[in-house]
Amino acid sequence: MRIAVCIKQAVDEAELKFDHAGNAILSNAQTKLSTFDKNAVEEALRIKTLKGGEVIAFSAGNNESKKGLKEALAMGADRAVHIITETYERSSLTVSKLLSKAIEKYKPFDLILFSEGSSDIYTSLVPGQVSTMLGLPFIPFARKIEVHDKDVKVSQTLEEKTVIISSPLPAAISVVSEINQPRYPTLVQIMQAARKQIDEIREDSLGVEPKGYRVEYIRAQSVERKKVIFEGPPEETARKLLDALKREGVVK
Amino acid sequence: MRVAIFAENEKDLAELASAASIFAGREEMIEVSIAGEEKNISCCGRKVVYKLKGKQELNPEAISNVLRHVGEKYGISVFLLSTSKLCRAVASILSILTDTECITDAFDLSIEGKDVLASRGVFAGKATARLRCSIPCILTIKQGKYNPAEKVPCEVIYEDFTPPTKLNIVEVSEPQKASVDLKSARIIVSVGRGLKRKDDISMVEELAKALGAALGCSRPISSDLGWLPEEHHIGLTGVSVKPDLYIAIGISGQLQHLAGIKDSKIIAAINTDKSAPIFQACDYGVVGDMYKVVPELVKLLKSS
Ligand SMILES: Cc1cc2nc3c(=O)[nH]c(=O)nc-3n(C[C@H](O)[C@H](O)[C@H](O)COP(=O)(O)OP(=O)(O)OC[C@H]3O[C@@H](n4cnc5c(N)ncnc54)[C@H](O)[C@@H]3O)c2cc1C
Repeated sequence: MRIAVCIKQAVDEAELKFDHAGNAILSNAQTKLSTFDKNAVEEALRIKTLKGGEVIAFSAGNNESKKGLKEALAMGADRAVHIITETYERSSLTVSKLLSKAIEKYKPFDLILFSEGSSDIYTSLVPGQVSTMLGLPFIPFARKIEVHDKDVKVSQTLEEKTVIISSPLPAAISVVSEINQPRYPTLVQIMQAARKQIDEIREDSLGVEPKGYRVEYIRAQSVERKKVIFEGPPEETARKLLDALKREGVVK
Repeated sequence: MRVAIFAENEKDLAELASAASIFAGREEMIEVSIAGEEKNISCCGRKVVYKLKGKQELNPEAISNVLRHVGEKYGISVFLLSTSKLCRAVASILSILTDTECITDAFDLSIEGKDVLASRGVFAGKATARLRCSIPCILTIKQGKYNPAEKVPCEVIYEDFTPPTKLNIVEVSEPQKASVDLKSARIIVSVGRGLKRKDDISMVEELAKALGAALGCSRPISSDLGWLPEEHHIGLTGVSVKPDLYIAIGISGQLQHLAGIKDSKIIAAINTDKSAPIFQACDYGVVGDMYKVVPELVKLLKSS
């Protein structure tokens, strides 16, 4: 079984800073492997353990992306492919085109895995876009995957319903974080990963016209809250809280 | 310009029709329905009905192909979809089938020449991005941002089209519990990982009852632990709410959770950890053990 897993080195939302005018500072911002992408890598590795084969991680992005790919390699991915873009910011459509062109070069695959959405932008568009470009059936928001020889059975949770979907292989699936508990690589694995191969593909060699939405600006969302804090014995703090909420007119 | 809208429920459809009004008048709006038999009433001038066999109404591939069919037959410039998980998937597939750009979770739409401008939350709600894309395009509209449009009598057209798909919907299970309506709740009592056992939910429920509040939760409570159904899950990947009062109990206040509650009028929090981020994002906070503070609140509410 050959499995491709697509991951993103995302700007770490917790560390994101803004300039005086309130604009997000994205150049040299701290990054991390997008939170749920670890679940996608873990799922690929879990399936490999059951079925054998190879796991190749793909990431499109600037130089920071190497860090995420190394993390995937340390977790156990066999190989990694870095599609090098000049900037961090690319529209979902452009990223999807880059990823699908790169995946084409490493064909055939039985499964392409993604996470449900990236922790920075969370458009959740890339999985469906890449799948459709590759002509593969796409199952989103999987919380359980059962791989058989010729097909795959997926349990998916939508807002109110649980749905079981089956699809012939090859197929593409995006996973939710509840699907598994990602492993932590050991120090030895991290060191071994440093020796594993990361192929590089330059974005301009793939012939993808940057297309799609353009960013006008990204600004801080400011919400002012009163931040009145009560400390002390529960009887007292409970009464103080209730009094305050009554004064606000939100509790009668 | 012609617009097609698609959502899984009436409320979302009414909001989409309202958002669509910047692109077209009601006569140029088409509601796409995959339900089968349909009444001749809609927020749009026309309703195009596809009868899909099996359980295809949950198949993103089938729905995308239906929308592509609508797009080609009726000359659609803009597709508006809800932000449900199913619609997000549909939007992504459709954007490739029609080679158009897509913006998800969009609000504050405006038109500038041949472009649409839209805002969306990014970085777990810490920032807002203003995005521009050219028409034709696909937009999924953030829930609760547009006032629902009125329904009026409309023309109904039945289409006979079988969308291609490789997916097979094997089984669908509906939620067992009666559903909660968090979006229109005036007060929400919400619980997080501070809860030690599933059974202790009853303690929080009692507070909700005393306040006449709906019960919500953080993602781990519904998704990881399964202690409450998925529909109670509030935040970036769950429901966005805007009650008069939101009480976060044993919730640390991570950005992804805050993203779903920032339109609340008043936010209150109960947490043992004084340095929890929720105390930077609330109006009133109690530093204390929920297992002691919540019963006190219930006692006070019952006695008054
Ligand atoms: C892309 C992405 C999307 C996400 N979407 C969502 C989302 O939509 N909604 C969401 O909620 N999360 C979401 N998350 C997860 C989010 O990052 C947090 O992990 C989650 O919100 C934490 O839930 P919590 O506050 O209940 O748990 P924790 O962070 O574990 O906090 C528990 C809190 O309870 C307090 N506590 C413990 N015992 C007590 C006690 N006895 N009394 C009072 N307080 C106590 C602790 O001090 C702590 O602050 C998302 C994450 C990612 C990466």
